Amino acid sequence: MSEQIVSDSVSAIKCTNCAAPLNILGGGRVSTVTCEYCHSVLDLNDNYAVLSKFEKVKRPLGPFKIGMRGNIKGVEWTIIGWVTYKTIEFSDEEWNEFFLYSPTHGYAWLVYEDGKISLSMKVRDFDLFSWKVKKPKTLFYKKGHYILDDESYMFYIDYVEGELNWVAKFGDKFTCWDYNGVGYRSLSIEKNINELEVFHTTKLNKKDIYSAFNLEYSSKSKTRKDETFSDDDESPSVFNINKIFFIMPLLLLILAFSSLFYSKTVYDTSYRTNQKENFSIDSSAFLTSIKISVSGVGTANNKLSLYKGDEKIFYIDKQKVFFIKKDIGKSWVSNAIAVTIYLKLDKGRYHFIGEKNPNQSITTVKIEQQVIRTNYLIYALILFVFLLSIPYFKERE
Amino acid sequence: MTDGFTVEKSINCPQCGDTLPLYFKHVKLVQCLSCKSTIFLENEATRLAGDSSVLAPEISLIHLNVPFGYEHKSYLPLGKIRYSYGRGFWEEWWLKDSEGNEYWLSIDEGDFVLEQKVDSRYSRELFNTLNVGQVTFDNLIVTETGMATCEGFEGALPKTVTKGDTYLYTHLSGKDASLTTLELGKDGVETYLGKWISPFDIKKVG
Repeated sequence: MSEQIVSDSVSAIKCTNCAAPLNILGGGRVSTVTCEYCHSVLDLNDNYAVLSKFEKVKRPLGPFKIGMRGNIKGVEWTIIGWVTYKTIEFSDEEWNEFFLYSPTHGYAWLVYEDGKISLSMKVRDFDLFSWKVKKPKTLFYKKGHYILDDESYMFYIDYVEGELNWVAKFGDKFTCWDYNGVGYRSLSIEKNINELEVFHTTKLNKKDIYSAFNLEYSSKSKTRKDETFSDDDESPSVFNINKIFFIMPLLLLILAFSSLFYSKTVYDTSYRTNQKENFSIDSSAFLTSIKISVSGVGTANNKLSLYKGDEKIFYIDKQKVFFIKKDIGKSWVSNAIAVTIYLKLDKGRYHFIGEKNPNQSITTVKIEQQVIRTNYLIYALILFVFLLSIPYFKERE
Repeated sequence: MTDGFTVEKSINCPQCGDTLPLYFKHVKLVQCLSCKSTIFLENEATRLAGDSSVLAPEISLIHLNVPFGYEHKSYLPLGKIRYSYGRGFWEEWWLKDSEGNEYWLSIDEGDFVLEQKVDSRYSRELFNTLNVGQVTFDNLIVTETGMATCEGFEGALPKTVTKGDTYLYTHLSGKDASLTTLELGKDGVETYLGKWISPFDIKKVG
């Protein structure tokens, strides 16, 4: 493993507790530096007075070190600090955050958790006022949609080294609400005793970051925890959204395909004279279709009335159409020899009366129940894919 | 002409005679690019100031008289004032957009705030009572208070500043993530209204 330690723009001091040399790499907003030898937290705004001391002295494992420099998203960053956090509920859940400094872009965090690397930046333009009132399950920020990942959780500081622009003490507790969005992005709202802050985090390509910081990338550089997943793993939210993205169209396709076999014919007969027939609908699922087709001349005189008991619930001829539940609108097209009507019928016994000029034509009536209209499914599929692809392509832009 | 921004006026430095192009005619203070003299502009007349400031060069995304883009608009940085806060400093850049509107861009180590001056409705006495976390009468929350000391300036400015000048300032955050900055100087309270912007959203023009 090679590393590049910054050598310019550095002011050197000595730890006021143990006299170890300390390099100050950050800008004017850095307020504390934690000595890597004696773990004293020194106040840069008060002549390096010792503010506190960390009892834990074992440095966690991690690929990055203070002083390394690398280019992320076109900006040259220097690692100036290091904080390790642990969750209160599960003490083996820990992650490392490396504090970055750029003279042009300020401060950011390089987050290293379970082998995954992200860039986290504090956002100032988030509407915390509204969030505090509503604590919503879902929110929008800069055209991105974010969904609350489970409930809030608590974590604490377990290790600190180097410079920070705030005073960190061992055991300082935070409550965090994570909102996950598409494109490996998330928003974290963190609350401690003094502040409520919002961070926007973007997952980075591990190989690129190793290269940017002159670290050798190989399978050996993976930690024990890395072995459980690959770099191609997606964040939970993205995985969920992508699951929906792929599963929903699949379900719609399965539904469309199964509709071909799901429907059941309850009546299918041809007649030359007026006809009265009974039939039963034993399932109210989906729709009932009535297909009327006429062969020969005399299509204009075909009429069909549908009754439930004594009540006329449906009527159609070449001029008008009526259905008791809703206005169907257009009737049978005058020059068409067939028409299919889709009705939402309840379970029960029905009868229809077919009227026509005798012997001029053969009229066939076919009634099917549990019919799924595939054209609606195709429209739904196209609309669904279109709606879901909008944020995807925006993220790619 | 600088990518859509035109020189509205030119003057000659009373110290070295060099021509000074001004991209905004209502400039009150300008530093000569050649001899670094500070020049007051009063009623078409120019007058040398007693002291000139030379700021140490710093890495910045913004450069004098070099336009930049933000949210489909171009801005031209006309001048900047550097203020110190002890161990560090921040800079206030005076900008104009392509329509001639004036702005102030505050840059403090990656924290960018774009603001415009508005009519002030705050009293001088308010500064004696404001504390961080406090909510004002108009439902804004005080997020920062402090004192700024001018270290110097470069370029052109719409007001006169003197090295060593101090003023009190307060940041007030609104419900829609807006930011109001109050400044208490010798001329009373000035109010600026704007928003935080990301340095990643600042683009090169041309």
